[in-house]
Amino acid sequence: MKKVIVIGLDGFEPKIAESMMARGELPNLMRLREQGGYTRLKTTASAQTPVAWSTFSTGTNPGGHGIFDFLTRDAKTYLPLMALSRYEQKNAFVLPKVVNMRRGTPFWDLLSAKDVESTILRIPCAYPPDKVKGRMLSGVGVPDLRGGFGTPTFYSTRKELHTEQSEKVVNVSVANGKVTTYIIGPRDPKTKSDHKFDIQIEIQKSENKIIITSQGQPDKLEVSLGKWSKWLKVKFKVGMMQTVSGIVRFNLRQLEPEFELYASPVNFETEEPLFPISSPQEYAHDLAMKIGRYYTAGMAEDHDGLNNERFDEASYLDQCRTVLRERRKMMEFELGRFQKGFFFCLFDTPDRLAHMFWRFTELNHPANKGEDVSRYAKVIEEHYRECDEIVGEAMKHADPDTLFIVLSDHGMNSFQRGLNLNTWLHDNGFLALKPGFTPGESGDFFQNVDWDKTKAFSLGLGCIFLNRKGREANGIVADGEAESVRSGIVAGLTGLVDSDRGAVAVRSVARSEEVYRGPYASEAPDLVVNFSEGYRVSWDTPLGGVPHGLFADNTKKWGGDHVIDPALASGVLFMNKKFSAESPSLMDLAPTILNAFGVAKGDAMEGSDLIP
Amino acid sequence: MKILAFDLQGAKRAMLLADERLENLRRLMDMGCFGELEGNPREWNVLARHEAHILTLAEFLAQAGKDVAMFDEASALQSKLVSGEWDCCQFNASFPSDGGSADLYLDFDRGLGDALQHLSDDTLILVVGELCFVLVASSNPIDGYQDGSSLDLTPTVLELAGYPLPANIEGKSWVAGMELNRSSGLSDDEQAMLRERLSGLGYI
Amino acid sequence: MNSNTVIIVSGLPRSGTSMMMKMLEAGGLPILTDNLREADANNPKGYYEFERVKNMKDGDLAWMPEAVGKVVKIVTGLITYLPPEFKYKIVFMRRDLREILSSQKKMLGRLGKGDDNIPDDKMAKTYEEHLKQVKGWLVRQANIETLYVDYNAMVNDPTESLQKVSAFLGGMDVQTMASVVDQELYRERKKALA
Repeated sequence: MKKVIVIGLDGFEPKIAESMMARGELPNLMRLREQGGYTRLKTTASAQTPVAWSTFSTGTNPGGHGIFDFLTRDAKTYLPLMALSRYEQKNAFVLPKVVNMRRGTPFWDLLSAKDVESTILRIPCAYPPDKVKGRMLSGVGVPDLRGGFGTPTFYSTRKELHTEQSEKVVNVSVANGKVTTYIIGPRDPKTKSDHKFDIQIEIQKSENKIIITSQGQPDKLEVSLGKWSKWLKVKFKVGMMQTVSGIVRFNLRQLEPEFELYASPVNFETEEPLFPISSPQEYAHDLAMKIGRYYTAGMAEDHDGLNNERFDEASYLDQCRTVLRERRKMMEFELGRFQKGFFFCLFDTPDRLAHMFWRFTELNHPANKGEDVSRYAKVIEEHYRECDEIVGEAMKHADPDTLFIVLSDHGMNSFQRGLNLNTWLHDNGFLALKPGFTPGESGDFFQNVDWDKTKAFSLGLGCIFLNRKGREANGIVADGEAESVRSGIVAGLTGLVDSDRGAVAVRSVARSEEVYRGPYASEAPDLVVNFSEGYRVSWDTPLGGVPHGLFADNTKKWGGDHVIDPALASGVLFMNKKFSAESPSLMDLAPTILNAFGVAKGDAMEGSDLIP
Repeated sequence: MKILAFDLQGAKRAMLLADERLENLRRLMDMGCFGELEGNPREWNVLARHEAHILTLAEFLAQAGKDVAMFDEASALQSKLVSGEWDCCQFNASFPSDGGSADLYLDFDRGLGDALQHLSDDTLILVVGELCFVLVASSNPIDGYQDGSSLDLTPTVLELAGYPLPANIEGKSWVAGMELNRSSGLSDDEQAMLRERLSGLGYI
Repeated sequence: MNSNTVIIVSGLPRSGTSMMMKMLEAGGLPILTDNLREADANNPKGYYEFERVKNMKDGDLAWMPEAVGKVVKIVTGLITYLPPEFKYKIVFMRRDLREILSSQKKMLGRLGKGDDNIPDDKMAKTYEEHLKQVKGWLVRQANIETLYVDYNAMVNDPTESLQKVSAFLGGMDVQTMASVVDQELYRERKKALA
């Protein structure tokens, strides 16, 4: 083949796609199905974006690339860590370096070695970007300027405002129609305070808008009520001689009686990003010069803003469309000059949108709280139609000598009930709290957990780690005892019933060696919990909380999820060439793509070429 | 605290401190203090004088039983730093009388970058040119511009590195009577920072 | 001297910048001044001001070529706006901050503006931080050379200070320059000590 074009649709759910196709919708995907074929695509354990796309990249199970979850734990401190990349700094005098924790060999390395060029847009778990022959723009895993997955700021004149998940709240006051405040930038490791960028806001009530004046670009930025602003480029002076720039957008929530303004997480600016986000390094900026400023953060969609109710569904939808549009521009610009080699572009929005709008498709979702759900009930399907249109646009660049693939990394499902896994471990004698403490009195980060008496703990999205002697700092489970502890947990959790609902919440629990093998399998959690549809690990669990009660209603707007039994969370696979549709998995894509170029698959790759 | 000193005889201020391309040195300037010196440029390492005898920084440390070594070759310095077994290393280089070309300074900065790779946080770094300097130490309460006499440098270095100053010294320490920074462990609000970093995921 | 060099006298207000201007003039250097402000009781020798300097902040630099080879007085707050395409030799006046503050207060009094009620300690700290910033900027500029001249030392022993100035700017008539030091100007310090 001369060209391989892969369009990634994150979280594109087969059940929705199939029923839409049955109704004759999604014409471009139907055309692909006719040309080559369609099937559900087996995802990874666990069914998460970084895990699944890393398997796509490397053609190995997670044991071969080392990404098992968004989070992992620091065995020395029991604190959760970002699992995708790590900042390493040898000492205080040298610059910190970002190290990608996705290991293994991605197939584009093998293509580069054979002089096949690649254009890879927004691939997850490539931060810092892989050195590729061609160009790569990193996706999920690129942080915002504060180093996290994304921290928005909410400005309000309300005094008693509670700070919600992952946000900063700044209390402001209006004087003479003006607000003087600041954008929050990176934290200074020396002073442990935030760097700030001053802004002045002029309120123009009669016109339902504000003007933000600053030293940034533009120097005056207009924000209309209920609308997203254009980008503001801001600069933080982080040292006597060093500045860091970023870009931020605003959403004006209300002007009266209270003044309320939302500022997005500050994204890296492409001209001088804090750390490289593309390969070659200047590519990200070259692209911005061609298509305009774009979101650079791995998590571009501001789901936190909606989840914290800092703006409404309409604004979130509007923002998702902006992200989709700019991604489409990227794709069209690159496909326009794409002659041969490998092309990949990932669209994250189907996932980010369905997480937040799933509840509108279920009348009984606890998050609906009697709300009229009809208004947004069709949003996901509408979005799927837009995705289909994008696929059609990309298909125009496929000639007979092109292998054209559309796939998703996992599906999407309902998330109505959450299981407090640590509370279950506590109630069943695997996790101990310090004397005098009961569940509900322990905060995040395993506060008040008595490690000397704890055999197992859960963090991340359904991972259970044993407190192993010689591995964890205060490990107590010796090698000889490990299997009996695991068996106890597996037996207790399998088939666990949510008595309020009379439903089975946990279908099974996978032992590490049943799902992971390879050089990094030893870093994997000891057990992975496979939830039923409608269930997931609770909100309090991933960062090490031990709340009161076993099950909790999910009343957040984030009402859909896919971190369930991978057997229930398959993705989709469409190809324009006939392929063997006998339960293909994400691991098969790398060998298939390599073989299309006549390049032999890597030694570690476990899948096989799908095209006979 | 270990001491790593670079004595760049004849290196000009306008080249050393003003060239943005010297990224390693620039980073050090950002971390500590830097500035200009008055007096005799060759007296930066003088601690005290007894008649004809001059007590230098290196000699003082050697007398205190410390492992002190002088280098004029980058590779030799590098090996010593890698070994980790040293208390004070001084690298000596001589620049042409007109200051020399920018390349000489870029070379120095590259060498400095290599050296920095092998240090522990508990190291004081001093770079001295002709009547100009850069000084970095975690204990240093001074940041930004600082000026004074050439003779003040060695007492300041010794005090920052935690050595008691002998009597009858010629200069005066800039940090005399100041509270020296002690590096602290993880603070309370770092947990909040951690939560913020991880929770932007949405899933949490 | 380089054909592209501008000589600048700088320092905080009341640090002896006007006296230095006068001395450089006496030493034979051409002065860039528009003589807009007349000598008054505060500065019996005149201000040596060049009004357009104040517009540097707003990007008015068209007069710079005119300043080449001449001396111009620029206060510390404006120094960092000097455009990078010229070379500069800066004679930077240093004076004890307490003396400066006392002199500034007297000046405010004479102008009938009264005391601004900012405590001296606070003002001194602000000035110290300002000077640190400016000096930190100057030392990082390859096109700028700076000579720091101590006001008190200059008044007490003009010849020694002026020899340094002469060496810095290139052969000047030190004796004529020294005769400019007008002990009258130092009366404020004596009064302050009294």
